Amino acid sequence: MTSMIKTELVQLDAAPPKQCLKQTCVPWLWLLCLLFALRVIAQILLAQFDIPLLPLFER
Amino acid sequence: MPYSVLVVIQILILLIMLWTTCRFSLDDVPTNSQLGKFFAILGFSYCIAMSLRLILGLTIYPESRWFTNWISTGFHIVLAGFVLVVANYHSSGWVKLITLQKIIPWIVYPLVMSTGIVLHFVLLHGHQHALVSVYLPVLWGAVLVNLLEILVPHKRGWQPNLSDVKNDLWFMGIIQVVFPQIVAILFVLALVKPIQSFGWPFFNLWPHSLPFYNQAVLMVLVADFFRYWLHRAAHSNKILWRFHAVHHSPEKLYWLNVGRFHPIDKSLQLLLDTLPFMLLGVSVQVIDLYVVFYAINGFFQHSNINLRFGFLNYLISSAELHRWHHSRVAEESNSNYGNNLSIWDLLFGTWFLPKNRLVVEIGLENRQYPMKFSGQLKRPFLKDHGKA
Repeated sequence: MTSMIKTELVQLDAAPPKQCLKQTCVPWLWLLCLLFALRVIAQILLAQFDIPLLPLFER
Repeated sequence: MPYSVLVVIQILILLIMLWTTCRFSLDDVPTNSQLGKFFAILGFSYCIAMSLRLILGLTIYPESRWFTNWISTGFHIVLAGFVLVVANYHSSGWVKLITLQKIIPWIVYPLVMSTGIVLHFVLLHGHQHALVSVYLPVLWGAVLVNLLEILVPHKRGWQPNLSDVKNDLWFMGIIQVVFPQIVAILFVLALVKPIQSFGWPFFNLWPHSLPFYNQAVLMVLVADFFRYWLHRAAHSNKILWRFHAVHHSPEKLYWLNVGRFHPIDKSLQLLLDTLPFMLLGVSVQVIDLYVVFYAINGFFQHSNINLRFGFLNYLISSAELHRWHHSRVAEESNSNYGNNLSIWDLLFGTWFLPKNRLVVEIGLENRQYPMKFSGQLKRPFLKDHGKA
């Protein structure tokens, strides 16, 4: 059992190739950009149309 | 800060994020471990600071708009996440490894439990029906535990197949959701109301004047004391074991088999952890909070998530303890009887957590024990009753 755990840890410890890292990171970066962009757009629209929900987005 | 300045800063941040993302998408960005460390420290600190802001807003500073602005805090956590993803790239995956193996196992239980309880209070104060304010936080806990089992499993071999899920859903729906409601109504109609109408003499035994939270803690302590002894008896008394064996039948431990109980076993549990408190006139709010804690804790206790509890193992009946309770080896499974708490196990000498090994096999000694819902309902009444 102990050796099984060790093997698993060793496999996880090995650094993934750069291409693999890129494949993991890039979708996350786009997703987080999209989320933040939605926030900015929502905020601008709320201000533009005087919708009284703007304080929810402050700071 | 004036609104116009805020928007300009946010647009600048968004442009930097987009530029970084495009560079990572299109170019072959060289990794830089120093940069990785810097972004990791920045990202983790940012994330911790914003989580503290959220927690303080929900607890100590509910009047402060800055602390309670959870939409804004959520987007700060989005930004922290972005920094951490960049850190992960530059540190060659080290941030992901640390997060999955060292951070998530420690923080998910307190995080999911506290958010579940906060959600319960938010719904309660929003005057939602008791069923909504109880079952929605429980559902929230179930969904998160399920996702975490996929993301950070303790053992890949414990991931359930369709048949496991189907049978466990029957147990969860009928034994854990419908059955207790029926039993509670029967308790009220057949026992609580008649006894109270005769002038129940023990009503004053419960400290109704204590603050709400203290009453909830007291209820967990007392209910767990009763449940501890019922559970211990179920492992030593042959008749009780027939019914309790159903709960020990799964050979894979995952969140949904927390509901796998025979109705007779479940009735005995309700007799000890619900009826006495109804008879004592404990308020519905206290009982509801107990149910939310009990359900979410139960999901974690049986979950196949890589979890670490540390000192909480001396207080909570955790997954780390409960996996030993489900061991196929009787000497190991006759331990950790606590339902929510482990303190009664500590006090009565049944607390068991070996340091340098993990549980190997779980389930019953009898490998031919039926696994389907209908088969398990009948099994305790069969002549060979078995051999479990």
